Amino acid sequence: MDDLDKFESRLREFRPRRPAMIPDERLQRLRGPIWVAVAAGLAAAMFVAARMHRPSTREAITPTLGTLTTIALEHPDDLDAALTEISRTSLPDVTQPGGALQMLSKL
Amino acid sequence: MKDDARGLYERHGRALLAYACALLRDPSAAEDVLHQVFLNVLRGKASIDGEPVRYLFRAIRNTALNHIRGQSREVELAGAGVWLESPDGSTETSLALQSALATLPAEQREVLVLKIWGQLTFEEAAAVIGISPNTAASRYRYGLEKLKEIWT
Repeated sequence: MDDLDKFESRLREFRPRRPAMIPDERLQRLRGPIWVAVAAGLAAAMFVAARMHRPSTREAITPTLGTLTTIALEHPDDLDAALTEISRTSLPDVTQPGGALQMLSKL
Repeated sequence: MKDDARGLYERHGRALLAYACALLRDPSAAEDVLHQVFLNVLRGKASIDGEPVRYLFRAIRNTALNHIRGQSREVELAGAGVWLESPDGSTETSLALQSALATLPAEQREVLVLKIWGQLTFEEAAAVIGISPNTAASRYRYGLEKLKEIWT
């Protein structure tokens, strides 16, 4: 092996660096739809958040005549639901085991 | 086809990048050229005719030469980052070799890179450049001698 061959071998020990990954052309093509999807997702999240924070007639109903009157005047469609909710918390539960009503029914 | 192209990129990306660096004297532009060639294949804008490796080196050459024509300024080969990694990991050694390579005439440097880091035969290198194998061998010999003189 002459000097030039040795020099060539020495050069071969150097290695070209690895190139960066090819920019994914599929990603580039999807860039538009991805933005649309992200925008739609954000819009949906904002809509849901707005719905969740909307004052509801079913929340924390105080069982007074004034409250029920207000609901009847301002949200007549919600009146039935409000009455059901109030009944559940203020009237005795006839189905409760060992409850007074259940005991009376056995007499 | 896409998997084939990605496989070729994995196997020959380093050598193709080295060749583009030798032509362009700018590793960043060389990488752009390499990506452009492969994106053209992946997007179906170009199809690989004949032997894939030879085609890719030729495509790199054509794209790099087009890039040079569009450039008004050349970037120094040695000053634009490491594209040949030294076996001992020394950046200084890499830059010294790149600097020595930069002093060679472009046609000698081109054959040298194709032969040593592209692992092409003289026939293959000659086909990529569009010269005879004898001319390629002669350029290689002169280039190697000159590089040895400069670098060692």
